[in-house]
Amino acid sequence: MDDDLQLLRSWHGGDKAAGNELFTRHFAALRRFFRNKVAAEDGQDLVQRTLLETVRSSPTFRGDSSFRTFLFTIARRELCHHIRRKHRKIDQAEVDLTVSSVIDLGLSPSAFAANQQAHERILAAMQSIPVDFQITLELHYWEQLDAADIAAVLEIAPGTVRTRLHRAREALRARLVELDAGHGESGADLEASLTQAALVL
Amino acid sequence: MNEIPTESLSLPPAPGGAAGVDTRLMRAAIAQDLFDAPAAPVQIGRFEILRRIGAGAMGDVFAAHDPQLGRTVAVKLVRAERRDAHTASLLREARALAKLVHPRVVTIFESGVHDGEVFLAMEYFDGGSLAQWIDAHPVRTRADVWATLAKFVDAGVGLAAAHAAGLVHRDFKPANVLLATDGRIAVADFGLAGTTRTAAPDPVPGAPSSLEQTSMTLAGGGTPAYMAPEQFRGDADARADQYAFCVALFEGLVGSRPGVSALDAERADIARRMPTTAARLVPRWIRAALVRGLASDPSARFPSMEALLVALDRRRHTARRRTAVVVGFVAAGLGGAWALAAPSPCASLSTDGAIWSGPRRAAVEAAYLATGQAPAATFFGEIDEALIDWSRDWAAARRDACEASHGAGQQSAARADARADCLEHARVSIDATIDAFIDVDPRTIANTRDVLARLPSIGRCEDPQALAAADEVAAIDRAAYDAAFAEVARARARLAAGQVVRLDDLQRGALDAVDPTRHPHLGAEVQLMIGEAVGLVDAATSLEQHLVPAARLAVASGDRILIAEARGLGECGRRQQGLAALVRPRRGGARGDDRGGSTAGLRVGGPGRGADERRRSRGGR
Repeated sequence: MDDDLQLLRSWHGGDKAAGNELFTRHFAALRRFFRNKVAAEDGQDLVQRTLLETVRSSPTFRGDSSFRTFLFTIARRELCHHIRRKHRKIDQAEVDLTVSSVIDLGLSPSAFAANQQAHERILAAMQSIPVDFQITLELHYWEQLDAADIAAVLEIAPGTVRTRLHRAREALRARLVELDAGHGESGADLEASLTQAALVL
Repeated sequence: MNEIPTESLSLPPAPGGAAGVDTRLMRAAIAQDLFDAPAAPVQIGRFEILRRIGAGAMGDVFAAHDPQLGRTVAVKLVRAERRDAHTASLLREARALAKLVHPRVVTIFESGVHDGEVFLAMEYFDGGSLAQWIDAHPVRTRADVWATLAKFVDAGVGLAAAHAAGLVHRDFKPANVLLATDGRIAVADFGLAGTTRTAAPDPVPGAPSSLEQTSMTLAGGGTPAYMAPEQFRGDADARADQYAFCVALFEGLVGSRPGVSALDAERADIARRMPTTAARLVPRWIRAALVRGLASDPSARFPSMEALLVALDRRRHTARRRTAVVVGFVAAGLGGAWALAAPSPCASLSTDGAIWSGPRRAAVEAAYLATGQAPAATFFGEIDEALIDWSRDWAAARRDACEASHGAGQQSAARADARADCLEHARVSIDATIDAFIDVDPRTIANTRDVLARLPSIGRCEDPQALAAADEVAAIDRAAYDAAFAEVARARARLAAGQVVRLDDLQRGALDAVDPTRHPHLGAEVQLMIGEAVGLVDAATSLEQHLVPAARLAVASGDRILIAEARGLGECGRRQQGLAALVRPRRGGARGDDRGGSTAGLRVGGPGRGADERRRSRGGR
């Protein structure tokens, strides 16, 4: 991954081809990071902001962690800025990402029906647990980051990652149980309740 | 559920369908913005995606550039969620639109599969939907009433055309009517469309279940706010579209829908007690038409969309024609419904009785009843009804074509001739179909509904692209062309009716007069017909030697209906081949490469076959 570091240095020096190469390597992960958290129309802006901030702050990046960890750290900060910008329009309340979920925060990511395949059920449940729990689970399970890297991204002490991961799984499990109880097992029931909802509108 | 299955926490699959296109568009845009990287266009098939233009219930729509024809098209893709259901809906839409060519119905250019995802390429509309137009044009004056009515009558003409083609839209609403800044307007979103023939007696044993029947038995979806009461029970025919149209028109004129839904309000009453401000503006006869169109009982509504449109357009017929600007009602699309108002040189042109005349009708009836098969009488009733309708539409279209050619400069003489030729060919085809009915055999009985669902299209004679093909007629000896056409029509009608066509019996002399390079249209018809006949015996040969060339010729002719037909038959051939490969090994080596055997093996519902196999072959039809 030191390759990434060289590309970043070259890009910072003005080599756009190097920037494009770096972007090509990490686009999928960045897109994945934002896709389940913000509305589709905000995703592109956030990916772009993250990239620009990455190159801007690259002199401060000494390479103690992997470039990916650096990128996710900045992506999470950009997400926080985004939430603050959005929230300033609504109210002044302080946002705590270990308490509020992307749904609570009104970020309107794409909706998943709760009766879908396993991974879509998970995606739906993830949107309603606290944002930092969601990020913890994603970085651990999807991006295979280790505890130290997750701690760096969340900007917390490495010792607390274990607890964080445990609490995140608990929250997700509780949410899945709620989803199951709320909608019953059969898709037909869900269809019926959707039709009802449409009639009310 | 106490444990989270670990595998569901694994990396989610990369987004497909519309979301996948969004991702690729995003990547290209960022690469361009930040790195000046000339992004390779995001492509679906040969179409280069430009931007997202909308999200529908079933799929998302993108504007795209067609480099081959240099025009902008709309490309529709299924959503990533519930992909199977949405793919089925998209295919249903493709089938529905392939049958229907009309200026007031959105045109489908192509359907295809890209990276395993089904897409439709359709006519592009840049003026938003009628729902947006209504919001921007609240009715405040009488003039607003006429402007709104004109838009709705245009859309209504599209619905009527769909009904004439045997389709029910089942989800008509202002959001599904598209506008273009050049004045085009068309009905879109046929993803829920089914056929108008709702009565579905038990299928005849051995009869293939047609595409129409499959889409018909699906539970009718729709948008509750616009749905007729009977549609909630899954029972929607053309009159349910009429009801939805009236809900939408009420909304356009009054600014809100009549009540929440058909389930908790008598909407006709609401229309009767229209708010006073609206009632002052909306003429009495329009209110009366809405009350009738919103009747809970379908039989209390107008018998057809045409009848409703004539009632709504009463202003044209009254002497009080103060503002002649009444806007472009498309008389042509209505099959000359208003032509009845004034006598014209074309009025005496033809009576529709000539096609489905007493003797011909009696011959078919006698032949059907003589088969002694139980459903024969029912099927004859359906034939009778369909042919009465068809003859009436044909006569109206011919009168309309005649009037248009007499009208000052409305269309060039060549176009008028082409239209007349097209209608004449439709007549030859329907005559061939009636002949096939007279020669009824048990297979014909089983295929009756399929034949009726695919009667020769009259609407295509309004299609400039189909008419371009008629230039071919002018290019050769007229008599030879007509003879070849009649021969093809005869054979195709028999094949459609499930009757045997032996290649030896074809009048090859007539067919040899057709030079496919000069007459791609007729050439395609010849190859389709032979391919269809050969396909009954030998699917591989049919596909390679006839259907593929037919598809090429069809593309060369530019006739969308023919292209769709060639594709459909080609697809069928391919499936049969696959099926034959599946069937043969199970039978062991005993059958060898007995060609007759492979045909028998393919007959649906044949004796001694497992349910599993039968299902598979039915899916292949």
